[in-house]
Amino acid sequence: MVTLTKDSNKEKIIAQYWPQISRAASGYENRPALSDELAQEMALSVWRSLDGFSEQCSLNTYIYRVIHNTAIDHIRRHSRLSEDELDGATLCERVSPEASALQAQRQKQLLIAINKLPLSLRQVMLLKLEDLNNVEISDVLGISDTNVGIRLHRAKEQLSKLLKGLN
Amino acid sequence: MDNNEFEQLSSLWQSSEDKSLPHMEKLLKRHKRQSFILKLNILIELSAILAVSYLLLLSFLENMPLIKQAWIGFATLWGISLFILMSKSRLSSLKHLKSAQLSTSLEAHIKLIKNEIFRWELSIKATWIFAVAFGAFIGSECYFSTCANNDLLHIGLSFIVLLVAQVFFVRKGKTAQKVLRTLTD
Repeated sequence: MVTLTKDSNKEKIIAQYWPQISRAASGYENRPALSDELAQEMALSVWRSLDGFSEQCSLNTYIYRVIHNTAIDHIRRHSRLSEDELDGATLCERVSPEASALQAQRQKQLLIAINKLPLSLRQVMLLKLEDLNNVEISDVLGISDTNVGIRLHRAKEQLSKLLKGLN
Repeated sequence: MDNNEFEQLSSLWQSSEDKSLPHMEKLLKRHKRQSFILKLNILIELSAILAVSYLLLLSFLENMPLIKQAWIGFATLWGISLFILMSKSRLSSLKHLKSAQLSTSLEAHIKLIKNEIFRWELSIKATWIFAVAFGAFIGSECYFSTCANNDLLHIGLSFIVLLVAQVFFVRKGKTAQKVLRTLTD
């Protein structure tokens, strides 16, 4: 068994999961400065929580659980008042110069739509977009498979409508 | 939305550019600084309680007028009660913060926000009680002795401070309620 408590191992895990952390932060927080701060909080939580990892679930599930609960903690402390006032102009502009304008535009629209989803639907959607299956999502969020299925169905419906509205 | 469309969305989502990787050492230092500030706040409150308790003791030793003794006694009792209730709620929150639960359970967050709402409501009630007692003390002072213009200015300022604090507590309480609704949604 690999010891996760060593700092070098922890750093490797953070680096490995950084893309997922980064995207989850953007999905939960649309304000650029706070989104960066949230990503850092998530990394710190993962770092601190690795000591408590006792293989009760897979490391992947455990880390996603920590990431998504840190987002909830962030919402609790920073009270997402801007949630309903989302404005495309305030979104994190994370588009590389190489990316095509169309790709950048679609990414931006997807981010706007995701940020407009209610929290319960946004959670399942963000995990599904990271290719987690329903069982893994239910493990991360601590809800039943059936509940995941229902939420996911609703989330997809709402996301479709939101994306159509943005096009 | 069919599976194919969703897969496209998923690849689009995963192709977003990452933020720059943080320096963990700096983050850990910042975390330590925050817990130091939390402890410092508790220490400041405790010092204020000790100072008021000392004043109460002094008022008895120096045989101050009964009204003053009653006022200092009330302020001490008010401070100690508030400190105990707040600390109890804070300890409960700290227990949740220290446990691994916070990273893994939504229930822990709901409990934390409920604790926070309790503290704001407590602050609102305590400020009302303090304002009423302060008003009674001032009233009796003016009735039994005299009130100078300068005193009235200080009293007015004190009430304004209490009012501002009350508005702050109410707003914070409402925000916390809003967050609780978001979490339980």
